[in-house]
Amino acid sequence: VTRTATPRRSHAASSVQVGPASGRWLVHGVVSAGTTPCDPEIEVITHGDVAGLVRRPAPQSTRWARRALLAHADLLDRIAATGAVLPLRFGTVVPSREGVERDLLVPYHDAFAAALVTLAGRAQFTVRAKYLSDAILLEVLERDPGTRRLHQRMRAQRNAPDHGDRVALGEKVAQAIMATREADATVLADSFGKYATLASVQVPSSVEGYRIADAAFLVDLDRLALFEETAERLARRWRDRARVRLLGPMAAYHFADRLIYGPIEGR
Amino acid sequence: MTVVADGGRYLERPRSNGLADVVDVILDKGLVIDAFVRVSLLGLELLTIDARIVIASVDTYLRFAEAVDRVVLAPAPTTGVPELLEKATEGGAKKKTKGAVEGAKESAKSALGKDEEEESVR
Repeated sequence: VTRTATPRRSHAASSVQVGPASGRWLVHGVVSAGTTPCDPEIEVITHGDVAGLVRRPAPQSTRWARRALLAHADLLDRIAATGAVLPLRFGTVVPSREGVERDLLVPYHDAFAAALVTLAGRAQFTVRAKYLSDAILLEVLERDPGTRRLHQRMRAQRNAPDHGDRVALGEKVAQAIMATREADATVLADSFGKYATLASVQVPSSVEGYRIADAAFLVDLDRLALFEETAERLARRWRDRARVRLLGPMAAYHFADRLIYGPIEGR
Repeated sequence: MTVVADGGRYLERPRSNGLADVVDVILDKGLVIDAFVRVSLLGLELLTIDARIVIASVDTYLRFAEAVDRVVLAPAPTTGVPELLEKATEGGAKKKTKGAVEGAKESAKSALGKDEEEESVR
């Protein structure tokens, strides 16, 4: 996969102006010129080989945000199922109609066009896996005699269990779940990685919530059957200890930055 | 959104994206244009909730200790581990040790106007 990395990357949202938006044009994503979204609320602004998908946002309100967020996902995922679309972060606004072309499509034209070539015939699939809490707790106790002994010793104390012991027990359990999760995230990455052009496997920073990982893969649509079989196989293998959800086809939300700015460190 | 096929027996394969999935998966993803000041992100307060705060506190550990007690002590004493596992699975992912991270995401979800559980989106 080749990519052009013209625009300079500063870090994520840090340099983006966040605050009451003066802009009135919400840009959902970028497609190849000639792609039609079939949505009357969306205006297509074309420059050269690329086009922005633009909506005129209503005044900000929670209700509007919810509807617009779902519409954002729906529009982009619908296009991604059959064609190429580069998703922008939800909430990206440009102050004028001319600005969409001048500030977005013109300076990024070549990078957008190259990214859309990479995205053609591919879509993102997201695998979300989460432990069944009781099952994983039993699993780590089963595997770690030290933790089990600590728990038994605490129960043997007839008086109120020692606070320090309780904290130590919880910490051991949390660490055991984290270690198990690292191993399982690797299984996940290895199982699906071979069917994907790009992969992003992220383990949550906290163990609370029992999430194993949120893993996104850019998959060739003609290899989708293999990918789906793999997901089913993994869900079957983990059926007593985790839930596995497969979402997609969806737009390449996890890979858009990488396609424009180049790879970043991390997995 | 329409998906290509239903999942098999064990895989959850939702036919459409529920709000919970959209918030969790895509809210903070997608290309950020940062080279031009004139392109900006809408400053909706509810979208800036940082749902990825690292929580590793004593409280967290105490909740795990409590969860272990619950799991180990709850079933009848005669039950063996395989049966325990079955029971645990039936019980599903009960959110006994629900912590601040889930809480943050939930507040983002409810801020967006609807309290939608993932389980309802199958």
